[in-house]
This record gives sequence, structure tokens and C-alpha cells, in this order.
Amino acid sequence: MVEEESLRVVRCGGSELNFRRAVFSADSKYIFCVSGDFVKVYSTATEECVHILHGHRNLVTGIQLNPNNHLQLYSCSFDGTIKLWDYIDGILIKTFTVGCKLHALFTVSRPEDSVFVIINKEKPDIFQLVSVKLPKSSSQEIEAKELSIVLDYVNQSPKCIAFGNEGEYVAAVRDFYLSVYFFKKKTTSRFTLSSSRNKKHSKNNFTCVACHPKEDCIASGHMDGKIRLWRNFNDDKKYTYTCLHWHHDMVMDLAFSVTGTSLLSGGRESVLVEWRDAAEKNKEFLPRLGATIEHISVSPAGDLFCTSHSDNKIIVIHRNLEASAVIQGLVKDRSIFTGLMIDPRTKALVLNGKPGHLQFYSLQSDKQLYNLDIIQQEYINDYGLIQIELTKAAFGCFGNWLATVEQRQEKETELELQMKLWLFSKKTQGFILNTKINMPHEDHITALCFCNAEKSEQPTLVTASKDGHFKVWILTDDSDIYKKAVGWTCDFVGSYHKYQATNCCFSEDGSLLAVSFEEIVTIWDSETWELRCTFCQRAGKIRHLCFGRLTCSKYLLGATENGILCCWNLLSCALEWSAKLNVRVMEPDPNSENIAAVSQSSVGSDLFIFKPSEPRPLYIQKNISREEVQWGVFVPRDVPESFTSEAYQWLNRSQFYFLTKSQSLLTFSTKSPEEKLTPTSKQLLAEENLPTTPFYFILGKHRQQQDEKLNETSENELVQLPLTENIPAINELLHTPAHVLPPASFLCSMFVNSLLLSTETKSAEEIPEDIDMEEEKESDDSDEENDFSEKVQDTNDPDLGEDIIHQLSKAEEKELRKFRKVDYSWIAAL
Amino acid sequence: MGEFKVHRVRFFNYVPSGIRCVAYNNQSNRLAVSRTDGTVEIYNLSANYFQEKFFPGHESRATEALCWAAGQRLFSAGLNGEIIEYDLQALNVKYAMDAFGGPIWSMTASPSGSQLLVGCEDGSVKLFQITPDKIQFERNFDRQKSRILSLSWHPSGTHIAAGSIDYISVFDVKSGSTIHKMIVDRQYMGVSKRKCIVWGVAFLSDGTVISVDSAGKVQFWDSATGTLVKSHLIANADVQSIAVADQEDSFVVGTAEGTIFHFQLLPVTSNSNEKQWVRTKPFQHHTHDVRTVAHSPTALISGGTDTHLVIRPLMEKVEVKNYDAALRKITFPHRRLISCSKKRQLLLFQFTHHLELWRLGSTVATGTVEAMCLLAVSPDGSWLAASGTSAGVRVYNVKQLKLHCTVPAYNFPVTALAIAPDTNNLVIAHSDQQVFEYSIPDKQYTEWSRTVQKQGFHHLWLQRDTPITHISFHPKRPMHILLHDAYMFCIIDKSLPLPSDKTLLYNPLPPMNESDVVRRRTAHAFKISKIYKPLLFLDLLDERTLVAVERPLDDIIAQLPPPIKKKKFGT
Repeated sequence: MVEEESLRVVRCGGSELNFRRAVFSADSKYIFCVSGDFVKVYSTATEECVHILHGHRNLVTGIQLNPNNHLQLYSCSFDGTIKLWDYIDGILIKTFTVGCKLHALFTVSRPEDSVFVIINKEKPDIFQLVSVKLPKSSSQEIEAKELSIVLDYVNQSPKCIAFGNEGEYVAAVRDFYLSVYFFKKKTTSRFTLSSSRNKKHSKNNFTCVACHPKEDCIASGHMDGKIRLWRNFNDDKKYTYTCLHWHHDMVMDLAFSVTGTSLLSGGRESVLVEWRDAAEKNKEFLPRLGATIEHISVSPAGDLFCTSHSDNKIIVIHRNLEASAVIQGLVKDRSIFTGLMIDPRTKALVLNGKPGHLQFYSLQSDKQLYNLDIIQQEYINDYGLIQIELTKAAFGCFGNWLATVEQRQEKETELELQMKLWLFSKKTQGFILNTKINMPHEDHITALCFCNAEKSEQPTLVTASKDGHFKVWILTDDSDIYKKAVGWTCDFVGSYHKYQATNCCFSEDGSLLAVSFEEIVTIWDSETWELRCTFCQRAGKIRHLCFGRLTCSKYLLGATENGILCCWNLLSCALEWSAKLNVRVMEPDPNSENIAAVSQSSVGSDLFIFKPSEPRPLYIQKNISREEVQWGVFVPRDVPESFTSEAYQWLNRSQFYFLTKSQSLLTFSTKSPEEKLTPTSKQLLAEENLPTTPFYFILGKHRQQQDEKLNETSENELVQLPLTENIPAINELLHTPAHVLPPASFLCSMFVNSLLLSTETKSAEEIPEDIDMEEEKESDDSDEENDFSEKVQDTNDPDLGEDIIHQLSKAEEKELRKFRKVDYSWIAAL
Repeated sequence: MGEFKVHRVRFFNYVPSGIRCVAYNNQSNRLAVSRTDGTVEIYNLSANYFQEKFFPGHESRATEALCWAAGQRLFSAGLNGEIIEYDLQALNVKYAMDAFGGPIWSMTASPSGSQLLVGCEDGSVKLFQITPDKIQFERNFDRQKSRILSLSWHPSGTHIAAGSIDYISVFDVKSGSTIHKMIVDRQYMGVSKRKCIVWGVAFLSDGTVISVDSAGKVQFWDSATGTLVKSHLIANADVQSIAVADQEDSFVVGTAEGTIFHFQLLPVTSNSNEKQWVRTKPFQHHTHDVRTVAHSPTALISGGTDTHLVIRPLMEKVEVKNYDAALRKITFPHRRLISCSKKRQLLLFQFTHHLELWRLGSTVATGTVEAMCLLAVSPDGSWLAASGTSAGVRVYNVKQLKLHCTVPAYNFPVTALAIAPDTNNLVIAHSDQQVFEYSIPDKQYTEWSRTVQKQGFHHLWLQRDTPITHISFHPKRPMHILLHDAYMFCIIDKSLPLPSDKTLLYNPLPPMNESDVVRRRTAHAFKISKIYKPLLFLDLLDERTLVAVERPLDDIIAQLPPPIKKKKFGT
């Protein structure tokens, strides 16, 4: 199946959705946002990603609707091209090659054949706004070399440039001045604010600019939270401005509503402010948006707004200031303390999310599944406040338990520490707080691990701390006369010569616990909590510790701060081998013996895959990232790959993801994961992982099982409905995205027809065969099926009914025709 | 220079009265200001904003309205029901005439300047004809239910807008009848209980009436249809005053929160003729109510309860960005309120309605009740120099009781005069900060004065805000002249070279460790000290004793009524 291409590091989702302003389609049905090298098309109603437009080879830096054809979208990228897309079908129409890095894109309707981009040609931090003439040509790849400079020395960010009055002038802000270029007069006016000379104006810097759609009015946002509305700026002397001041911190973005009657602003307060009639006293708020508002955009139809937030989230907001949809990507706002984990239930990647939250992020669909509020306290966003940080988290007992550690340290001696244990509740499908332990240790907790052995009856948790102790926590009965309950208590406290405990790790079968005390590794029996043996290599403090798995379970691996990787044999209690490797990340693969180690050198990070049984690595990938790799994790594959080459075999059952210091989530692949993720594969994925909801009973496999039982018990029953999942019409209905479905009145006749067929002509026994056949067909042809549904949407083909029927017997057909004559128009009236 | 024993006097309990009305006269570029105690002051905006005339007030003559009419005639009206005309030459009240309508709340002159309109407590609007030497009652307009608080003429003189309580009426001047009655929304912060007082109206030539009211609104009405066109809510408190520019492209309103807002008529887009009124800049120069505003062609003028007169130039109207473009804040009168008897060590404080005599070293207070004002300085011996309100100083020989000479006329009014004890040199300070020395026996400017004029004063000296209010001399050092304004005092040493524009004017006293050579090189004629401010008076009692009278602004503010409480962010 897989050709042996060269393995490369690919960015896998989790890219910033908030990098640029999102753009609405003309009918407000779709919202476009840049996402790494791609442009994503989301439905505003369902929050689902409808298309991913891929074609750029570097970061996409700007998107704009084609002002002359609102079904087309322009995008520009660091790869030096401007691409024109048909976003409804996700097709690339044209590519214009400009040649230099493009930083932002603007379109105006008036000069039809040109767009505006920001480039930097000479020095690294001098940016120019240039207009690019897009030549008319039928070919797909066109060179666009006709550039003319409009404004020099502009700000890099597209927020600092705005076109006004249908492209008659362009306003650009930078530092302390606003420049306005008039295209007709070909003149530039410049307005300077008093800068930091006196303290009162010290934060006068411009941060963003927006132009009124109908009037000659420019709104500018400032560092000190003021908004200035400039008027009369075509007169160098008589210009004037009004101030609006509500924000106490920098204004991050501004947008006028389509009619210009209101101005929207946002900033670090996470409050969207609507200024009506540009009056200071007349303003509305949408508070508690969760994170800093980075961008605001307005739909051309005027019914929706959207805000992009620093936690990689886009909120679609109704005109009456009600949030209607949230598109949430991987939260990358803050530093990651917990590392990368995999939730055993959802296979989601788990890591620090919003402040005080754990996020569950689906790698497959590149979206956040949900947020778990761990700290459960209102987050106060202010400089200089020392926040409670979620520092450690671990899953145990196949995802039934979650342990988290949070801490806050204001002064050296004042440590606030809390450990929480969460139980997964099947009823609510979420984690519920079970036990809260105040100050589980005297000092910072350095490591936390559950005993994940299959046979263990009693959940066990071990915490290691800088106070020199490790503690074993077990689940005990906490019932009283009021209720039955369980809770966690400390079972054992261990220490070793008052050294700081730095790491802890259970062996695969749970029989042994390894705890490292600075330079020394101690092995404890988990039954009796007796010290079995110690290893000491005197090679520096142990940074990572892990047991081998499966056939290599007799080995224990430790990586030290001095750059030595040691492997001890637990049977002989001796050092098996050691290697000089400055290990930053060491992760065992849960599905094989393989262990991944990422080493850090001055040049970059290298990846080594090895088995503990032999010191020779299986696979080496040099220079996987220029920056420091902070965390890594193996993610089990849903469908195993079948790489035949020995070097790639380690990727067959799991995939290795890692997170660099700048928080880009990367993985190894022969192709990019987004390529693999077509809408059809997603659809299938959805079908398999349906939760047991009422919906599932119509659609899922459960029904099939039940029906089989039914067949056995009541053979003599006459009426037998076919399995709903096998009726094409129902499949059609359920698998086609809601926004492309034809009207319900049209579907209804089809739907009813399909249900009513079999009562007379078919006996119950005949059906299963049919089903099998169709099932096969379906799984094979799901791609076609999808195309088919699109056809429906395009043409509203009245022949559709027949298309389905031709798969049925003649008798059914006859019956169907009879039904088609029945008037169902009453349904439309419902 | 030497050291002095200083009497630092802070017991001059002077509190200026709040400003009630300002009226700007475009022809003479003069500003009339009336205060709550009935005082009327006239400022000459051309002469560096110098307060050149002064009519002492009386408690019974509290003014509510002030206007210029028929060219340069000044009228005021007040709650005693009288219309007063001032004699600007003789500096006294020409006549007072009762309008017979109860207390007068508003008064305005017709665009032609020939008629005067007053709005009274009883709801009547009365029209007066201005005759060359008096005014004559002409007729009443339709009587309204409640007091008329504001009046405005249409520039053509055919219609009148009158603001009352809860409504605005539009009158036809010919018939004197009400055409429209425009009801003002009472709503105040969501509560509509309080009555809405229309504090000000302005009638524009296109028929728009602008009203400001106690609910914090600025509203635009169409007088032809009597409908509300647009409403701006600008304050949580009363908007108390409005003034429109002559071109009708900008107006200014003042609120009880101490803010003034500037509104401008701006084109909607650059290539269309459509224009709209836009609130542009707010200015917060006051701490208390802005009771009155005026709009000169180049500046916004405002005054209120906090007693400051603020002149805020409009940057876009100023041709050159020189020191005239700076904000002016006038707090203290440009007169000397204190006199001092050197021999007996007495200080005489002049208040608006009484005098206080203080003996330095003890605190015995004696008072007499009388009002006085005019500029005259008598020398030790035989000369008397006098300056009227118009420029020019006359010197009289007291012994012979006849005019000795006239100092050549100068464009700017005199702010202080003094005759040196031995040389009989007359030192004159003008409102443009020029200082002249005139030798009375020689009947000509002295050599030093000529050098100063040739070289010119330091630019920072010319940019000072306040005029010199007092000049005195050192009894033992004839080369020294002491003079002061409200923010500094200066000793001019005529023996030292004058400062050029490049040298530091306000040099700190040279450090002692530096050599004499350096000190001599950096030393120049002007020794300036800013230790005492605001300084109302400074004089030498004897050669080693100095008396300085200060009036800290905080002490004045402490005696004012409390301002409107506002929530300050972050507190």
C-alpha cells in the first residue's frame, strides 16, 4: 500500500488558526482561515471543516475573497505565490508567481486586475506595500512580475493597513504615525502623534487600523487602549480625530460593520466591544470570550462577526452579539508543563490548554475535542500575577483515572501544591473530581505515574518529589452511611538517603517500581514496597527513566543530564550498555519494544529509535528540528501501516509526535497527514466511533446485532424492516453534510419510499444477503457515493429516485412508482 | 545677589470667583468675562491675553448673561432683573434698567446688533431696541410656562429659539408668536423623573437648532418641522453651555463634568458635498462645571466654577505653530492685589469687596469696605507715572502739578510701572513681556533699554504666560531691578551681559565649586527663581528682607464647591 518514500518531518495540524483575520464567504455560510500551509474552509453553522485548500508550500499569510467573483478566494504565502481558489469545490484555479516572500494580501474591487501585497525586498525589517498586476491568461501558472510600490516602510502586520472608500485611499500605521495614500491624487498624508516624550503619551503607538466602509473615516487602535477616529484626513491641516477609550490595554484589532454604523474592537480583556454610532456612551459588550482577541472580521452580508483568539480559537458571533459557533484548534498560548499524553479512550492528545485547563485534541480531525477545567478558578489576566499552573498530569487504568498536579509559588518558601484525582464517568462521558489532596508533598512534584499493569486490581499512583520522598497512593473504600464512594489515600512513603526523587516509573507488568534519586536509581517491589536494588552510574542526575517493554522488559533505561544513556539489566543487576547521548526526550512505544530518544546538540535535534536489547539504533533521523524538542509521544495508529523497509518498521503501529520549543507539533510521515484526511475517510471514522447515543441506535452496528437476535426469536413475524444503515437513501441522508442536502420535502419521498418497499415482496430471509452485498459495495464506493451526493446538490436532479431504484427488484420498482404518485407535499408544509 | 530673609506669606485668603459668562467680540478681539460675584473683566486677546479692564462687582448684581451689541457696547443681565450697560471708557456702569420680568436668565443681541432680547423667570421674552445712549423696551413675545434659560437668534434675524424647561420654542420675530415647540426627552441615565433643563440653544442659518440639556445630550433639531434630527449623548451630567463659530462649521459645548467637547461639520466623503456634525475632540481642562464657553475664530474659550479661564487654540486654525498656539489658563488677575508699606512693614490685601491690612510679624487684621482699581505708581520724590487703559504712560511732575512728558506709545498695554529711587528711571512692563527703562529727567529711553531692544529678549522670556504685575528696586544696588509674574521672580542685573537665545535663561544658581571664570561666563543679566508659585506679590522690605505672597492653587480648590464625582478606572 505504501511506497517507500523518504521519511520526512511534517507539520501535523495544530497550526495557528489565529495567524490572520478569518474571512467570511459572501453568503456567510463559510468562514476561511489560514492554517499553516493550508487554507481551511469551515461551515459557520456546523463548525465543521468542509475543505482544506492545499497547494502552498509555505506558511499562508493572507486570504481575501475575489471582489469580482465572490465564489473565489485569493491566498498568498511565504512561498511567493498568490493562488486563486474555487472554495466550494476546493479546486485551485490559478497560481500567480510573484517571487518574493508575501506577508499579507489585500484586494480592492476598483482596479480589477491587481491586488496588493506586503513584501520585504531589501533589508529584513523594511516592508513595502506594493500592488501586483495579475495578468489575464488562460494558463494555470502565471508569472506576475509587474509590481509597483504604493507605500514604503509599512508595518509587517496586515492589521496595520486598511483600504477605504472602495479603494480610493489606503491607510497604514506604524509606530507613532498614520499615513494615508490617495490613489487618485497620488499623494501621501502623514499624521504623527506625540510620542514618548512625555509620560502621558508614552503608549501612543498605533496597533491597528480600519476604514469606514461608507464615510471618509479611519479608526486606529493604540497601545494605551484608545481608539481614534480620524476624519478630514485629506486636508493636512484641518484633519481631526475623536477618541474612544474603554480598553485598558492595547487594542488588538478593529473592524467596522458593513454599514459602518458600528465599530468593533477587542483586546487582551477578552471582551468584544461594539461602539454604536462611534459614540463613547453608546457601546455594547460581549464579555468572557476566554482569551485575548487577536483579530476581528465581519461578514460581507453583515449578519456575522468573528473573533480570532490567542488560544487558537475562532468564535462566530451573531449580529446581536451572541456567540453562535466556536472553531477551536490546538491551544498554543502558553508553555507546556504536562508534556504530551494520549487519552487511552479517545486517543486524543492531551496537554496544557487554556490557563488551568487540560485540552483533549484530536490529531485526526485537527480540532479540540474538549477542555477539562482542572484548576476551576476564574483566570485573571494581568501582568505580574503569579498564576496557579497545572504542572503534571497522568492517565491511569485505561483512561479511567486522571491525576493532575497544580502549583503556585509566590515566594521561595510559600509553595501551594494540590493534587487532584479524576474518575471517568461513563454517564457524563467526562472526568469528575474524585479526590483532592492538599500539599501531597512538601516540595515540587517531579514525576507522577500510574501502575498500568493489566492484572493489577487496585489502582496505584506514585508521586516523586523534591522533598526526597516518593509516595504511593492507592484507591480505597471511602463509603459512609450516606453514600458509597472510593477515594485515594497514601499507602507508602519511601525515600533514599534524603536525595531528591526526580523520576518514577512502573515496569510493564507493574511488579517493579523504579525511582531515581538524583544520580541513583532504586528499584522497589510493588507488592511489599521493599527496596530491591540500586543502580548508580555517577554520570549526573537522572533526567529520564523508563522500563523496556514486551521482550525487552528486563531492561531499564535511564538518561542523565551529563549526556549518558544507560541501560541496566534487571536480571543481572548490571549495566548492559551505555552510550553518549544528550537525551532531551525519551518515550517508549506502547505497541512495541521501540524507544524513541531525541538528542539535542548545537546544530539541532536528532531522533534515535532503538530497542533496549541492543545498543545499535534501528533508525536515526538527523536534524529533525532546528529548535529544541521539548516533548514527544507515540500515538498508536488506528490502521497499522505496512512499511516493509526495516528502517521504517517502527512506524507501522505507532506514530511519533513531538513538540518543539516554539510549540509546533510535528511528526514523521512520508506524506502529510492532511493529505490523507479526505472528507470520506473522516466520514468513515465518524461511523466507527459513534458513541452510544440514541442516534447510534438508528445508525450503528448495535442495531444489526439486535436485529440478528430478533430474527432468531421471531421468525414468524411478517413485517421486517430492512436495516436502516443499508438503505441508500438513509445513508445518503446521514452521510451528506447537512449544509449540502437538498430540501427536506424533496428527500422525504425518497426516504419514505425506501422504507416502505419490502413489506410485500421480500421475505425476511432474503434481506441479509442483500445487505452483505450492499455493505461491501458501500465501503468500496464510498468515494463515489460522496461525489454522487454532490451532484444532487448541484442540479437537484429529479431523476435521483430512479438512480436508487435501479438497484432494487422489479416488484419493488412497481411498488415504488405507486408510492411516487402519492402526494407528499404536505410534508413541505410542516 | 546675596541672601535675604524671606517673609513667605500664604495667609492671603484670596479666592477668585467662578466664571459665569464669557462673551467674545470679534471686531475688537476682546473677551468679556463675568464672574459669579458680578465682576466683569475684559481681556485683550491681541495683547497676549492681557486683562486690560475691570469692573468691580457687587453681590446684588450677579450676572447671568453677558453680550456685546451694537459694535462695542457691553451689556449684562442678572437675577436682580436689571439690564446693565457698562461704560468701557470710564470703567463704570453706564445705567441699569429693570426689565420687569423677574430674574433674567438669558440675553442675546440680534445679528445686526440693534436689538437685545432677554429671557425672564416669568417665561416672557422681551425685545429691546438699542438706541445710541440707552435701550428701549419694544415688545413681548408669546409668554411661556416656565423660565427662559437660553436664547438664540437665527442669523437672518427672523426667528428665535428659546430653551426652557423640558422644551424648546421657536418664535417668529415679526409676529412674536410661537411656531414650534420641541419637547426634549427627559431621560437621564434611564430614569426620566427629573425635569430636563435646556441650558443652551444655537440657531444655525440652515434652520438647525442645536440644544444642550441637563440630561447630557446635544441634540440637533429641524426648526422647519420641529423634529429631532440627531442626538449625541456625551456626558452623564448636565451639558451647560454651547457656542458656535461664526462660520457655523464648528461648535463647542461644556459639561458639568469639566469637559468641553468640540463638534465639527465634516464632509462625509472627500468627493461629496454631504456634511455631518461629528464630535471630535474632548478637552478636560476644568475640574468643575464649565458654565460658559465661547468660540473665537482660532480658539475655544471656556470658564466655570473652578475660576480658570481656559483659552484652547485650535491647531488647524493657527497659521504658525508659535507660542500663541499654546493652551492658556488664566487664574489670577493681571493686577497687583497687594501693596506693602516698607517702613511700617504692613501688607494691604485687596479683595473684591473689602481690604485687609496685615502687620508682618503679628496677625492683627483691620478692614475697610470699598472697591478700587487703576494703575498708578508714585515715586519717592516728585514724579508720578500713570497709565490708562489705552497704551501710553504719562509722567507728571507732582510738585508743579503738570504733565512732564509722555512715554512713546506702545501697542501693548502696560502691566506694571515703577520709578527707580535715585535715577528716576521709569521701568515699564508690557503685556507682550517687553520691559522698557525710561529716564524721566532725560525724557528718553536709557542706554540699557536701547541695548535690550536692539538685542531682543530671550525667546523663553517672551513665551511666559502671565504678565509682570510688580516691579521694585533694591535700595542699595541701583543696577538691580526686581520684577515678578505669577510663576517666577527675576532680578535683572543691568551690569551683566544680556542672554542670547542660545544660552540657558533659567540657569540654576551656578554650583559653588566651579571657578569664577566659568561662573562669570555663564552669568547673564536675568536671575530667575521659581521657588514661589503661584506668586502674587514680591517686594523688598529692606535690603535684607523679602516678602513673598503666594496663593497655592490647592488652597483655592479646597474652598470651591465639590466637583461631580466620577469613577476613575483602576481605583
